[in-house]
Amino acid sequence: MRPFFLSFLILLIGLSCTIQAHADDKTLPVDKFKLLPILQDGRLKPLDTFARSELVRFSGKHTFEGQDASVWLARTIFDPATASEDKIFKIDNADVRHLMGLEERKKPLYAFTELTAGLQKTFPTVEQLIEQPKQNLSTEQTALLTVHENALQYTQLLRSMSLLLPLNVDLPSEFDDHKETTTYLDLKKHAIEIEDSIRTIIDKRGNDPEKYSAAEQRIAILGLQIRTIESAAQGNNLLRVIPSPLEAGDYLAPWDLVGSGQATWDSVPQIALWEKLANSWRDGKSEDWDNTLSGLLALSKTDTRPEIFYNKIAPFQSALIFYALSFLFALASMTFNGRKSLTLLSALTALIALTLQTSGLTARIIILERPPVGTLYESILFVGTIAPLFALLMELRLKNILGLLSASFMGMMVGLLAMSMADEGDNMKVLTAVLNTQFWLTTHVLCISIGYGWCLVTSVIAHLILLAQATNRITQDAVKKLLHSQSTLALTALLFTATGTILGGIWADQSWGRFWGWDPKENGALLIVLWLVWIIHGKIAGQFTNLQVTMGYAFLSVIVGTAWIGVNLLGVGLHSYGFTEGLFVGLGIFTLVEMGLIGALAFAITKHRSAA
Amino acid sequence: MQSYLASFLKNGLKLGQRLARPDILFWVLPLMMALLVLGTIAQKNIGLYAAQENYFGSFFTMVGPVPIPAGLAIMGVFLVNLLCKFLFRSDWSWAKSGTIISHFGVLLLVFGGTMTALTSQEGFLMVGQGDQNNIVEDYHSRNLVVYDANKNALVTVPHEHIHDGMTVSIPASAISLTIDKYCFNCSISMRPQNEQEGWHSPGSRMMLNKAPADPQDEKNLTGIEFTLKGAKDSDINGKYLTFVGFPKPPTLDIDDNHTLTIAMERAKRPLPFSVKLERFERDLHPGTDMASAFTSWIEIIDPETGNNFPAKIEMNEPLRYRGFTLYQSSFDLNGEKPYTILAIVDNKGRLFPYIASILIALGLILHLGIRITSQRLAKKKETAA
Repeated sequence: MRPFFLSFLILLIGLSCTIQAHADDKTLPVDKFKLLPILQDGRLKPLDTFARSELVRFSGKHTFEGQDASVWLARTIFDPATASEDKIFKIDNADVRHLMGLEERKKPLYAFTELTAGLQKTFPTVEQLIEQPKQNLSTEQTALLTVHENALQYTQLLRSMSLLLPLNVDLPSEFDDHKETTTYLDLKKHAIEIEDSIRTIIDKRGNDPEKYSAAEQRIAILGLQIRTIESAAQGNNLLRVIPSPLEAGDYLAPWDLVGSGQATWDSVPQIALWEKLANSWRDGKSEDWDNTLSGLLALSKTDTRPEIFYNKIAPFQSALIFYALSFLFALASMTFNGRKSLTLLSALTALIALTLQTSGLTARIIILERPPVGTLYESILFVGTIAPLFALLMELRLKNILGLLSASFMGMMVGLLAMSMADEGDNMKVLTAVLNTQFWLTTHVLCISIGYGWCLVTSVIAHLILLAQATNRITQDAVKKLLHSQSTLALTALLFTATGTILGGIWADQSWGRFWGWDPKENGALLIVLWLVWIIHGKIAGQFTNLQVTMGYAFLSVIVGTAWIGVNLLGVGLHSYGFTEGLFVGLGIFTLVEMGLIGALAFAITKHRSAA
Repeated sequence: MQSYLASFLKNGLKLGQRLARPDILFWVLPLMMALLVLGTIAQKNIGLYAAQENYFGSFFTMVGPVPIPAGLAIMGVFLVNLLCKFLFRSDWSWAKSGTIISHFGVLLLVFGGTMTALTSQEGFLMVGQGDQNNIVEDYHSRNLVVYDANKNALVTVPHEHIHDGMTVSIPASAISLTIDKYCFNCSISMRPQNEQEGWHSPGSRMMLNKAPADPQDEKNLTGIEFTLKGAKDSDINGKYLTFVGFPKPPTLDIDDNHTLTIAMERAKRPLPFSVKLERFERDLHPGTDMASAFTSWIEIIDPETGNNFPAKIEMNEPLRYRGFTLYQSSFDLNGEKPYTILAIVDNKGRLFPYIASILIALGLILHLGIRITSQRLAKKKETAA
């Protein structure tokens, strides 16, 4: 980490020279550009995803001043001098802004050029901070570190194509190839001659540039510029867009390709096309731009269109809107005594939402070439799809709008949870070796996720039963039917959670040599099973009244929340995702709200009964 | 005699029926859940292994000053209740067949779990590329072992029995070791100059300090500082130290016939066969340091059966041979050649969860099916009426 940051200063210095700025503000269509594949975090993805995730990382948004993220990316890599003026760094923390000497604005967005002084000023502090464990850092310290990390990442982006971009250099006649523009690669052809010339000058005149003639000074400056560009590009492997000529499946960043000596004759057409692409962007030549992109796409063997489609429709965010509409229609339908048109509208919008989610999951399966659940975030997406599906199936049977209400409510709530749990940027992750198994991801993970889904449906139905009874809006006969459905739902939830838990044990037996290891996640899954068994047996044994049983099922939402997400906050065990303060507080509030709500509803029901 | 037997059976049946009552389960389950929550939260501070031992692997545990029943006690009551319910209170009818099968599945699961807890042995075997090994080292148990010149263990003391001030005598000799300092987890520091007298190298320069136990049991560095007495050559008597993983444990030439090596080491046991590592492979996700797969290409060499054969072990794909299961656990690529670390488990109860899970799932499906069918039939009857 330390050398990583030390090189940062060199990069800062490197930024201030050489690359020509491009005055024209014209942008070119990026539809083909965003299709180009890039290797990042072990996965080939379209530049569209890369651009979005990088922009979200810096600014928290998917677009920049109304422009597509890919336009921002093209400007950043092909026209870095102009791009460094883009106000994309969002610095929310007032202390960090103050520490970096940044002016206060309505929207705390800053350009890289505005940050450089503050970055240099706070660099000694950051040097100390990176030596400390992350958990010991305060919010301000973490925020400062994040600004520096983001700036470093951004510098890599700015410099990623610098070997192909025209330079602002004053070429001595002996090294001038009389090209319209000169790039680092052009200069590199003369590198040995330039080095020899500098050595001769030093031998002749010594180390003091003051003693050099004007021509000699130009050669010395040129040598310094080459070294500066090279230093600034050291370790620049962010933009992995060129297939490795040596290792199938691997991609290299332009600097990596040149620096590592892996460039072969096979890489020449790729490099030439990228240079042409950079030039056509800078010159605003749309025909050249389009043809070059077609050339690069023709060389690519990866079809990134499914992911572009996925990014474009944003299925899970769009579904959220349709679920909200469905919920409103369902409420309106209940208010107007089950008016058919409103009920149909509610069902239709819920079906649209479900179709969107299913398309999203299918796209993820195609893109990632694995079952849809491999991370906590993906489990939320999956449960957010199947829980409304189960509730809709229930509506088909009960036909009393409660299924619709439950489906749309769960779709909204789990959708919101997914949004809050989404990492910044790309949420399609490759998996660690132990998770890299199609069989167990299909059996255990899907089974337990389906179990969570049934649990949520059971809980929501239990809430609705309590609500209907508390407001005296339901007949005893209807309550009886609903209680029966609730029991069937709970048994189904038990079937899936119990089977899923045991399958998890069998997977653990296969992978770690033990069926049960009391890992927090295993314990969480067992907690759900025990809770369900307790309520079911408490009812059979006559220890619980119907009201208590319904309260127990309603509280299942908290048990599931704790087992599914809460245990990961402990930061221990094999399923640890680290402690997230916001999530912990959110879960705590949710638990208290549920306790209060369920308690209040039960109190109202008891009061009604005693009054009757 | 007959009346005795009848009375015994009657009382037994009565007791069995009482022990089968569902109210026992009703009170046991919340206790089980509370223990589960406490044991899970405790892992944050004391680690998985200690939490497992304290909360789930013992009969009682302390929450502050209050003793509460722990896993073995609660599971014991649960098992008795379920067994009695199964034997004495089951409704052996078609309608309840799903419940009976599920309950039997749970019984098998708990029985298998008990069997695993009582009989299973876990350890790891580390073998370098091109080498073979049959010695399994335990993850948790450490021993103080005194070896003779032929590597025969003269004394073995499990680490749980070691304490400050303890004296260990070496059989058939006048030599004894007095434990001056035992630390389950030691930190190592420089020994101050004014405390170096009487110490033999490297103890004269380094010292062991008692450190808090690491929540990850495997990380604890167990060691001792001890005084050796009884050697004829008084130069040999004195203070020494040794700890687990110490590359040069004290080896002392007591006299012409006696050479002793005093080591702290993980408990070892031999496998009845050897594992030879042909090669180890780690596949990475392109452009990252994140592994997508680990594979050990091994050869099993079994002198007892004469069975020699090649095999492949990878993540989620263990090798099972002669009751042992060999899993890909870890690796070490830092040395001159790669080492694979295989987890070796001998678990007599490993098949129970497989059978139990099938029975539980089948039982629940059957129960649900019967419930839904009978509900539909009742509805049809209602409509017909």
